[in-house]
Amino acid sequence: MDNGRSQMTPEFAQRLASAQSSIYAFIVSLMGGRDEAADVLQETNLKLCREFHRYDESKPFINWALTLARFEVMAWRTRQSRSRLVLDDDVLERVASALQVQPMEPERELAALERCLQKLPQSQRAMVDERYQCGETVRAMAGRLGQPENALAAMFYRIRRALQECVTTTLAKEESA
Amino acid sequence: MNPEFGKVMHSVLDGELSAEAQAALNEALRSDPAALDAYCSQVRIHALLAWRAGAATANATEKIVAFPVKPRLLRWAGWAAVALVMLGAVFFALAPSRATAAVNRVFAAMQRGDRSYTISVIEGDARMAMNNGRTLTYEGGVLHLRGDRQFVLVRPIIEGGRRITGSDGTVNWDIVGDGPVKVTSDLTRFRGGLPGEQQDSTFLDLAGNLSGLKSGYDLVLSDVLGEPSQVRLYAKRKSRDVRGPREMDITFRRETGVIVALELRGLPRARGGPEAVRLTLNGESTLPADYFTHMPHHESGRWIQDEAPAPRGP
Repeated sequence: MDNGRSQMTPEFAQRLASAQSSIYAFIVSLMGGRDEAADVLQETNLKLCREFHRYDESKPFINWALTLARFEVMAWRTRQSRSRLVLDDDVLERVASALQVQPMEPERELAALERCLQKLPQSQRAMVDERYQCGETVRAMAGRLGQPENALAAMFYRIRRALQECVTTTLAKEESA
Repeated sequence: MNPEFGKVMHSVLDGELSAEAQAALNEALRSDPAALDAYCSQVRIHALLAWRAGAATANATEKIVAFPVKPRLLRWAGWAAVALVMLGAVFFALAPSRATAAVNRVFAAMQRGDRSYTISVIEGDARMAMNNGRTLTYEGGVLHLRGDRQFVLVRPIIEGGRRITGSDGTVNWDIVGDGPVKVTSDLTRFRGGLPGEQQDSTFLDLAGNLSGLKSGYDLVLSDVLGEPSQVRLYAKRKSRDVRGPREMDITFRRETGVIVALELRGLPRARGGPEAVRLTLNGESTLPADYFTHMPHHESGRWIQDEAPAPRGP
């Protein structure tokens, strides 16, 4: 399908910019947390720009973008040795399918995440900042704080789960309001 | 869901997945819908937190903007050049760049523990005349830091002795040789001896001047060749209107953000002194609690001269 446009529109650019966090999260999920996710995001952005004339504006942009991102992840996988792939092929398909059926509203989701972070206890918010803003690994943090790495990892697991539940609840409340 | 799944997720997200854990992950995702849900939500929140911190933004957009125009792409290159620059601007507005995140990391590291750096002069005159006719040298000086407010700077005096200048965050002090200990509650006093401090350099006040470094300097983040555990942050002053060194070259540890080397170039030299210096980390041991007060740096009974802050004009 061709949308008949010869030039990328500002609306397309805005949609692409707004969807970046969701495309990135999708790619990270399919790559099993690999650092190269930013590189695959870049490849996906280029592909989206090249293919913009194929985008059907009557359909959600994010679904189209994630489909192309999925292809870019597959292309990345073909360039890697098997030992570098975290997910098996069939599992990757399961994860991609599970993620693509979830409604995604990147800007609202990021805004909700921001509000949910403010609801965390101060000590947990500080840990999140150390881990993500400052880039400290759980292992390094455990060494610095003199705590078992497993205990700290379990704490982060609970924090992320709490944040996910808070984001889901916040978005649902906004929709019903 | 297997209670060990939390550990497996930690391994996934910290990039330390063993072959056994990887097999367990795939099996859980294949057979347990709860594990699949947990994986999707854990990785998604992890990625959004990383995105919020600027983990990917600059990387993705810098490369887009620098996309090479090849002949086969000419048919779309014209609009793409314009559109991608526009996209770059939009993307940068969405989340802080990696360089800015690196600045945050370095500053966060400054809040933790004590650091000691040796000073060497790269360019310009290492010596600086003092009012009493003697001459200081920066070469071989040592700078101790605690947090972003406390410091002790030790510089040799060529004719003999040392000048020790410091601050415990509430009192600034200065000791020249065996002369009196000058103290003041004016935290802007005695800071002129610090490299770059004549113009409120960002070095001692790194955290306080965070916004200055982010807005007043162009930042470039890069790897350090041969040192995968280190990252280099190069900062160049955007204009002469910005106060501070012309350039700062900061090498820090990737994991902790601790600065291992710092080069300051284009230092203000109204009273002579070096034009460029390098500070190299030489110690991270915890110094005594009172080390940043003047007391441990002179014998008891030394005359303490309290300098009241200069009265301000109307």
